[in-house]
Amino acid sequence: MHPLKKAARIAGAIYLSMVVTGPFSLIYVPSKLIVRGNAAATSDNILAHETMFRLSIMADLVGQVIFICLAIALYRLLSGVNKTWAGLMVAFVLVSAAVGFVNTLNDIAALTLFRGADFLTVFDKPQRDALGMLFIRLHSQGIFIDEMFWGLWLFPFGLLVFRSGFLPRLIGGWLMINCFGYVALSFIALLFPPYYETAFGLAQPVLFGELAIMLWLLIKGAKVPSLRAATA
Amino acid sequence: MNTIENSQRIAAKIAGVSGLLAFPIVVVGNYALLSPLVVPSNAAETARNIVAHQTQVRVALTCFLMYSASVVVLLTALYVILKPVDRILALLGALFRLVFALLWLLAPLNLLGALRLLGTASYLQAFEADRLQALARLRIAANFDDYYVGLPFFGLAATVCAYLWFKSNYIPKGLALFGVISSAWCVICGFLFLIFPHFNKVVNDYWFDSPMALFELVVSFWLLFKGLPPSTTVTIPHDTRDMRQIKTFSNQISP
Repeated sequence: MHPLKKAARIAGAIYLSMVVTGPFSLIYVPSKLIVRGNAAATSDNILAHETMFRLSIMADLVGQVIFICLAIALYRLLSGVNKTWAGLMVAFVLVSAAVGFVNTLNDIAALTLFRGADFLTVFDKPQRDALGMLFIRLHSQGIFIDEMFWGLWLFPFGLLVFRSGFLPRLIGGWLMINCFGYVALSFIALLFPPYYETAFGLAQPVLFGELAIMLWLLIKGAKVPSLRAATA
Repeated sequence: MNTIENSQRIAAKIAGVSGLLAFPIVVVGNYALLSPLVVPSNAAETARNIVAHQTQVRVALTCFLMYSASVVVLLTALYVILKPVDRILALLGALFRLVFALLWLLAPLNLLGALRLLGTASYLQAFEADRLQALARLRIAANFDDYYVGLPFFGLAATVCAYLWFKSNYIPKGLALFGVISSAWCVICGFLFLIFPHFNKVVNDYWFDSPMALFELVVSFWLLFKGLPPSTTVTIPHDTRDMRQIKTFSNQISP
């Protein structure tokens, strides 16, 4: 296989592996365990399904590691197009991953409070549950902050795809629009929280740019320049 | 440096813009929006201010987020400019600055935590109002600590970059030397303040980082308006191998 195609397929495969960890920790587990505004029910759910909750913490951490690997794989694929933009792409991913790592501490703190270790006996159970719930909510807030960097890295990525000549320009443009989608969502979550759900629903077509590039990298790889074009 | 690539010149403009944008963003966020709401030693009054001006707090934390993003753009641009001078040191400088940018991201998290604690969620009724206010004040106070944990990394990044500026001749040597001294001073102050919390009684907090911030601002102005020097500027090398290269170069250009 041509090295360019191989690099594209590797990046696509790494991207695909994020599809497993991301929705599990971001959508499935919260929807099963967290009851909005009800700390006691959330605490009971998490303690009853502690392994599932711990798996979601692990999935969060593994997801960040995969994200860094994806950035490196994409850097290998696209640094030939422009090193500066490729470097900026990696830098934004590193920030996003670091925020993600720190953010898992909120979930760990919540679990510690719900379990109620010996040193926490100075708090009664409703107070521990309330503090635990606070950390669960802070985890969500951390995701809103991370959302800005989920977006920002897509601008250099999209620009590199657009300029590459071996990946579709349409998807490159889509990724750049995808960048603004995430950044706008982050701003709305932080400045106008009541409108976030509506904005998230409306932004869906824009956010599928990532899915498009992942499938393209995985299925089509990269367009290898013909020998005539290369020697011309 | 005998040649300056076009990518370095573009990166210099980007560094200039991001450096100059970052400064007012963080100053407005911290001094104009957040500080007026915080009443020293009075958690209840601070809590009342925050509840009454929630949007102002949210704009401030968004400023911090944007500042962090600007620092990431700046560090990438500086890496591109300084990489030809010394690749490893340029990378080291970028990584130190990345740690600083990451620590800035804790500020929005702290503020969001304070807003949560002072919110109306029913599960928080397990605590009395004054306890929630004290916890919220603690989250805001954590911003101060996070900044001073990040400051030595900012100083280290600026010291490494200033040394590379000095070595490169891209900016005036005097300015670069001022950068090395002011940044190293900031690193020393940062560490001393962490070990001796009353160090700021000896040296005012503003003197820790203001000289370095001034250096970074001047460099940003320089890069944006003056840019990098023309490629004909040649640094005189020291070793004999380079002398041979100069002789070869002289032979090539002599008529």
